[in-house]
Amino acid sequence: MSTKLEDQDYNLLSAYIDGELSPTECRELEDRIAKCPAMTRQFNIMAGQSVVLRNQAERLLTDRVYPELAQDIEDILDQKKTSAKRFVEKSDIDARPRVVANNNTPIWTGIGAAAAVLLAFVGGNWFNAEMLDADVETASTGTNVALAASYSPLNNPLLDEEISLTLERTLSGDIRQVSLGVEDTTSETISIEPLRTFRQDERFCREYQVTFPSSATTTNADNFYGRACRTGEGKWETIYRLIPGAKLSDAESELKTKQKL
Amino acid sequence: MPANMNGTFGLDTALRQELAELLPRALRFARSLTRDAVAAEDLVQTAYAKAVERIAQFEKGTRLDSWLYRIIQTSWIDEKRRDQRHGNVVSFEDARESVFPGQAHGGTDRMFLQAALASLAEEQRAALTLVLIEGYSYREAGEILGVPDGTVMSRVARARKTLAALHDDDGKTTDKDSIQRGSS
Repeated sequence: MSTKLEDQDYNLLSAYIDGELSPTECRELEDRIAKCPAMTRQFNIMAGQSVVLRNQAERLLTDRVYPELAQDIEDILDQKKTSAKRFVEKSDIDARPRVVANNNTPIWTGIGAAAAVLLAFVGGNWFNAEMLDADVETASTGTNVALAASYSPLNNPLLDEEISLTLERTLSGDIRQVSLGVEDTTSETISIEPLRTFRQDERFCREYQVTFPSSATTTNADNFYGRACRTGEGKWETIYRLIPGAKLSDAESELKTKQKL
Repeated sequence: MPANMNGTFGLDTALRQELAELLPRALRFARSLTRDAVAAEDLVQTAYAKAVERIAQFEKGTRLDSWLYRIIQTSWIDEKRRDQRHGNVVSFEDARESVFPGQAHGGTDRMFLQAALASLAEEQRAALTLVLIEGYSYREAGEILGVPDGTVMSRVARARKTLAALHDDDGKTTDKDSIQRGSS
């Protein structure tokens, strides 16, 4: 099924990505995203591009302020006389040494270099403390299976629980290292970093990044981005996860499983 | 004008520090408006000079970054108007063809997106920059741009729609299968 999207659909998808919709509007839209392939596809593209642009912009902040400008601004702030405003010729620009650190480097190791950037919308699942007990058993049937499962961004209640704890307790920009309790001989941990916090009507929502140990992820993505909103003490509802390489069938299966909760 | 404890005139130490720390972000916003690195530097200098002149108008307890961005935005509008009067309206970026780097990353490649972002209409680029890059709400971005938040919403959505369409156009000529796999 392919449906042409209207301008209002783009408005809603965009506002959803920006955290500007009410919880009711979010639910309605999530339902449509999950059911309509055209909406799903458009959301994946728009959200994926947003992630890349935001990451790119963060790196540009530290790369491209030239000492002369910084000094001019210091002088302005100190109300000293600054050099006359420059009238720039094209040749001046070409001749000017530019220190652009990221010219040819991937901006984001999780997405930048990989040709197939496939982002999956995984909406509507809930994770909280109650989920933990029921699912620990499944994850402990064998070390290898459990290890692989512990690095999965989907169907991974232990990870969900750690994300929930991190969002509850960790400041944006701080990275929480967690071990999922598996006998991992490499002793490597998963990093969970809340990126930003915003208020959506009555709820606090946060975006985060999860990074798995690179040596442990031969098939899965080595990191993913997500958004969750707080629904109660220690309870965070996943709004979506952007998972490079995930197939929609994974997302759909996740959706069906978690919606029962 | 009396010197303050910092030995400077007029600017309180904390405000001075905060303004100095805002420079990278101010420059990034100016670049998104001007699409020209050097013009952005000039714009930032003009805006900082105005900010220092008008520092008494800044209300303590409100966001200094929003206030500075508003000055950058209005300074840019003033500058464009002045240039139009002098018949000088073509920036280096505008003067050259809009060429997108070839890429096969389904519209999420860094260079491709950078070029695509630069190709957006200025009002859309400014709104998208404030919301997506700077993290302002639609209401805050609307205050900086001097437009209602509904206008910010539609500008941001139109910007994203354009970027997404470029993704689709690109997908037709590149690795179509890998782009559509998982999302069709």
